[in-house]
Amino acid sequence: MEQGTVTAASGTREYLTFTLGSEEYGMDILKVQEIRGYDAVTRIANTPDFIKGVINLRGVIVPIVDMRIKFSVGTVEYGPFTVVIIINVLGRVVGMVVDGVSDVAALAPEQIRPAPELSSSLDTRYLAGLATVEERMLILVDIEALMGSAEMQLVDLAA
Amino acid sequence: MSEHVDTTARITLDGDWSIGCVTERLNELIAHLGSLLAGRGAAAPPPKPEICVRNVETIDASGCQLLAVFVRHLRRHGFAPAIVNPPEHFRSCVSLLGFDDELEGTGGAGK
Amino acid sequence: MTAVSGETPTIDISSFGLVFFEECAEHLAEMERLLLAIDPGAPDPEELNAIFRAAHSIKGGGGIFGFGDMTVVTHELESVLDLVRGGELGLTRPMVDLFLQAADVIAMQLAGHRDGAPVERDAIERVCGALRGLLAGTAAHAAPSVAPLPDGPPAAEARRYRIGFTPAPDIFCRGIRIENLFDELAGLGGLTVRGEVAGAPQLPHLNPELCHCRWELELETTAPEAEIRDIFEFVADDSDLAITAVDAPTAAPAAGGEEPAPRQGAAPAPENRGGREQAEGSIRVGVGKVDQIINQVGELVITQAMLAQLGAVLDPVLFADLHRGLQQLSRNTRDLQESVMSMRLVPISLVFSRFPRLVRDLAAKLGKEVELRLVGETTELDKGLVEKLADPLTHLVRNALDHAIEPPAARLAAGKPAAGTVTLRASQIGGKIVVDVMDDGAGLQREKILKKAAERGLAVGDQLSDDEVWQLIFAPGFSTAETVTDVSGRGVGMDVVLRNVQALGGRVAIASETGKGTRITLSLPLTLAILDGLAVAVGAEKFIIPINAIVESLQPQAGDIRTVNGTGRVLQMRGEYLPLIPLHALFAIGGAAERPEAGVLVVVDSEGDRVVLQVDALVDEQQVVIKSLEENYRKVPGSAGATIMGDGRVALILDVGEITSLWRGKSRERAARA
Repeated sequence: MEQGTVTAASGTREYLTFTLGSEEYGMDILKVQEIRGYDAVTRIANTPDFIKGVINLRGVIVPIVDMRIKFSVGTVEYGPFTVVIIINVLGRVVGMVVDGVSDVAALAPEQIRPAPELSSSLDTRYLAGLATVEERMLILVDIEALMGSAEMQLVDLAA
Repeated sequence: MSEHVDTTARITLDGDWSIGCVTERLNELIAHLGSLLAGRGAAAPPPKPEICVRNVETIDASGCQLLAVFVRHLRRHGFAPAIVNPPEHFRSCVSLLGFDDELEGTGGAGK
Repeated sequence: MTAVSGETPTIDISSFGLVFFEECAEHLAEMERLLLAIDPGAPDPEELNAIFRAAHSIKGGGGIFGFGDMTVVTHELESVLDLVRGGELGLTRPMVDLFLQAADVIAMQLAGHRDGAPVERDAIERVCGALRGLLAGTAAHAAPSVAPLPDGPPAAEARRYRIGFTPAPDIFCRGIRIENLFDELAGLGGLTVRGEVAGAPQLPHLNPELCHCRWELELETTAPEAEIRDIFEFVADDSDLAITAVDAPTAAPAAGGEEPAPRQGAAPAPENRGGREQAEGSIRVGVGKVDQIINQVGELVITQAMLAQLGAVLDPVLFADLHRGLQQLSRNTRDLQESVMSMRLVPISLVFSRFPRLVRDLAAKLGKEVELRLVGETTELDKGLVEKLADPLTHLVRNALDHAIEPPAARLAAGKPAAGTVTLRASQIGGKIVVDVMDDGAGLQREKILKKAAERGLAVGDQLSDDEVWQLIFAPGFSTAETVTDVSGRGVGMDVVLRNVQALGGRVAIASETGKGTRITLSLPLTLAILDGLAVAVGAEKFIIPINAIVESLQPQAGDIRTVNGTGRVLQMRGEYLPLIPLHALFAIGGAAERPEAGVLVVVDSEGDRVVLQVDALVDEQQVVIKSLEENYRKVPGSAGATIMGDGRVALILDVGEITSLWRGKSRERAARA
């Protein structure tokens, strides 16, 4: 058995990294469906300002949340370079606007440390851990916990 | 969770192996896998890890699937795992779902 | 059987089959009607003859079209009826019940052939057995008449089925316990299961909450295939389920489930029948797959609309070919959409069929005589609608029996026949399905409804037209059983009926004449997947208003609008004051026309009362494909879903009822603040 490939195939998971303000985050890449630009969003009245509305994604209606507004970071502008990460969580498709998508990082379990109470913009409840990649700190987000939470107002809690 | 991996490569599984908990269980299995692979690098390979399921409290189709994928994965990496000490409910669930071959047929393991 | 001529060997079985199905359904309805009406103590010989003829026709037709299983029941039924009509066997109430059960069974077999509906072989055997029991009890047929059935394997034969089951990935998350499923299958006979996870991703990449398994099962059972399918009913929709019979019928296996030896002789019959079904060209397709096609065609329609929009600006002479092509595309997509939508259509008889029994039982309980007439049972409508129509219709039929139809003595005293008539009539009128529930009972009583409404504090007066008075019974909480039952004979839960029907995009109307009866008309859209809508613009946004909610649209003059108490505006129209709801204010949309005179007003009907929506402009009328907002997001107050416009953008479909209550809520808030 070739040691290298075996180890690589075992505990290592891949994370899509994205930026929000000055912080760099990572999320399980298996939850990412695609990355697209920001356009043709239909506003929904009487919703929080971070819920930008809904788009038509090949015939499916998908809500768009702007994480920059939700977590009061970054510069909220919409232009040709605005990035939407379409994710698949909890059996739903959701689009999230971030400042930018940077990389895909492969992390072995031993590279991930538990997230302490820290001054990240996200509540610790939604963090899966911390990792260091090329001297940068990566905050790993439990995207499912975040998107399913009451404060995102994406799901009918009564349902 | 009181599972451990010792030098004879014995993996002890316990707790709830149904749909509500399989994600946690996956993470445990990945940890076991890491230890197994690391252990093999050091010494002569213990080719037959024993997976003790005596303390598995509940299991459903998703749990069986997870175990079956785990066992397949071990075989793919040259191990010949064996499930030991299955309690009655475990045995009947595995057999009802037709996973006997995947889980208990350790004969032709490890290609 | 009128249309059958035996001389042409190459008849198109499918089109003649349709004739048979229709005629057979009519004969069954006739038979049931006669049976329900018959007096077992003194049966009318003419009616007995008519019942016999109906059974005979079904048997003959069944034989001609190769539905051998249907001839079995009808044969037994016919034999018993023949004895009854010859006076050799006295008719009793339990016998009438048995005949009705036989009719049910025949209807079930018919549905099995026509729609691929499940057929309970147990029920068939039970009814045949009971009929044969009657025959055996008479002297003339004392000899054993339990001849082997000409078709259809008897209950004691076991078959071996191979079942391939690849569940949808989300099956675990849907709370479906596959163990229980297999346990149930094991209850049908000897089951062997082999599960495999070869298709699953590698462990580190596995999402353990999704199902990656595939199962191969072998079941040896005396149960019919339909029963196996029933077990998978809730899981097979989006799953790959393949059931194949792998050998000929065999003798019932010993309890151990040893491989039984194939039996001689009986094998070819089921194979033949399978061939026949294929010759009719029907296949079973999961509703999920049909819906998937409908969605994809919906996409195609949107793309086509987009192309048409783009093409419209091009010079018609220079791009003549392109324009022709676009027109052709438009026609083709419309045709395709229609064909696809028709795949979801089922006859309304699926829901009507429950009523003869319900009416019979309920009438007996109430001590009333009621005849039920069903008209237009072959009218087709969306499968989803049929399921949701059952409750409101049941409600209405129960109401009619319970409260509208008078007891026989009262009817006779009023110069009416002792037996009341309740009619369910379905028809397709334009793009709508209209279902009438009619009775010849006492009718609604104006004075008493008015009195009741006044007690309830509803604003009423003698100037109200009858129609307006009838509308009062839809008011929520207007009626309670103990009061209105006495008063008007109607009203129990009518608000619920109204809500249910409106939830389907339909409307309810009432016509009633004192002493003569009442007609309640439900009009429903043909389908739940498509809606006729009016696109309106508010600021830069577009909304869809369902056409069936729109009463009229108008350009207001300055004098038409009044302000009430500084809290809101009303439109004065033909002596009425209708509340005005500016959509831009409700939805906080900037850049829209502020003054009503600068916009367009759309008068809509919201659960009986009218409100006026203020928009900037009417865009166009179009058929829109209804999309779910809840699938990935959540319910949006004021909307009944969304659709995708020609330019690819999402537009919300307005729910005028919800809009009205949203606006009232806002007005109250404003009033409270003021």
